[in-house]
Amino acid sequence: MLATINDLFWSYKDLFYGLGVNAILALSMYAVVALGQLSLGQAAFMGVGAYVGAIVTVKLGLPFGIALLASMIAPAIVAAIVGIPTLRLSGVYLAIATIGLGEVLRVIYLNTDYVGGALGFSGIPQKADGWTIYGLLILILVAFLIIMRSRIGRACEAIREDEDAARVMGVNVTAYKMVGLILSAALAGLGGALNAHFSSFISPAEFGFENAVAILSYAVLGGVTTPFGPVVGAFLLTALPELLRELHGLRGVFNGLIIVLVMIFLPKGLLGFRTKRVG
Amino acid sequence: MTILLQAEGIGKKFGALAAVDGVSFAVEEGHVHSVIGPNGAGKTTLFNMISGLIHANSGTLTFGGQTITTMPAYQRANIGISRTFQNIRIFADMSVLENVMTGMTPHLTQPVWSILFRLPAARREEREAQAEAQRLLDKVGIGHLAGTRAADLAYGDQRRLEIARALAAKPKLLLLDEPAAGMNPTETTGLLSLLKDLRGGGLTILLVEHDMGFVMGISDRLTVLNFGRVIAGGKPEDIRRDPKVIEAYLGAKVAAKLAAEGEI
Repeated sequence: MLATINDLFWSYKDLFYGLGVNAILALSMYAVVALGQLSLGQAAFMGVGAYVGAIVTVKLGLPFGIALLASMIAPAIVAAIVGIPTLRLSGVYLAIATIGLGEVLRVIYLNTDYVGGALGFSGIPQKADGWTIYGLLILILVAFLIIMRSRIGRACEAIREDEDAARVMGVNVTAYKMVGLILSAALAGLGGALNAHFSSFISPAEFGFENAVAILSYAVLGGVTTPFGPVVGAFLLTALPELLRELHGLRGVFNGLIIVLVMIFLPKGLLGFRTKRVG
Repeated sequence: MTILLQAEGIGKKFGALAAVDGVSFAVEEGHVHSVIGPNGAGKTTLFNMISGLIHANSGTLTFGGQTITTMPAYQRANIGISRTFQNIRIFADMSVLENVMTGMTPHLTQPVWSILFRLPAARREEREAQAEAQRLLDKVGIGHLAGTRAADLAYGDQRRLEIARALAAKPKLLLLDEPAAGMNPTETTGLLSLLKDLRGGGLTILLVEHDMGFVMGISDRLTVLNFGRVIAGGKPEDIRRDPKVIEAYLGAKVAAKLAAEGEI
């Protein structure tokens, strides 16, 4: 019996780890969408984290913990650089800038032999286990749940509903958006490093536009009225194509279809209830 | 007398159009000061400049002796300027109580880590904010609706909620943009007594309103705008008889006729 469970675990280990990592990536999206912003650079931030994390463990030979830390700091800095000129403006500027960022970074990875270029970066030690991934996921989720029940959660929802009204209420809207984007990039980077350290191989193709849309679709499917939404969205969208193997080739189509259907029929996502904003 | 808010020659141009053009006036502390004028006179633009949502192209604004002409809106909220909107802009999906608590932003100071680790200080601040929000809702007469989704409130109650939310910041100056718009006579009377009550508590109110009975009934001072300029200013009884004001509202012909008949 135990052996059977063990077999099952090993054959689905990658899926199990993938579910946790994708949930972290979905929460990274939540940090932006909860403020009414749209980022299409989550895959790019994830890539920065993955490459920086891999460099730290493989090339520098430093401990995994330091790799995780570096994988959060590096994309956070990139996010700050992108955010300063774009976040003062409202609307789609952030989305456009982050698409551009993703493409620029992808071309840089492709042409940097130090990290393997187009062939990808291999031989990354498998340091990420279920405990690390799910421990971090729960930590992040709980932190979001607590924070969103405070004055900060109210300010976020106010910004999402009406930026001007939030401003005259004393909310520093630009600062909130900036912190949201930086936090989001750090979490995406963390997800990237965790992913790199269980799959042991990363390549530029993983961090393109298609993956950015996939991460967005987690948040859209689950909804962002509560932090549980993106997590559930990530679980469903990661598990379904894996369980319906024949769909695998059509994964992109599937994600696109889900975004369209959810926007039409469930504009608030699957988990349409909202967290109370009173602590 | 102390001047709380002073505008000196402030102006705002949108392209070639001067929505507000060299407007000067002063609001005395403790007064209800109304800005009136026909549609398109620049009243809302003026309000947006005072609350900081847009910045003046020319002139200066001072508040309590401090120059605020280019200060961001959120900082103005922090120093005591609060407002409501002509078209109600409550946070529709939040509860009524949460709306008011959002208005308390300038006074909620617990840092992130204190909130994250649920330290006693953060929990106390949140508890006190909740009690204060409830008290404000009681004051404007919708205390029993605290848990309702804001969008589900009746129109008049949404107006009251917006006022409660603006009061939550404990402002020194409250800007009300057409608070009686769309209210029925009973609601208007209720609003009037609320505003008198607030003035009694020492609050300074700057009001834009179309309902002349309402304006005349409560204002200490009036400033009349037309085509972005100040055409008259003073006490309600003087403004009522000012030919320029009557002309702006009723047109030159009617004003001349009334003058000929000795009405003004």
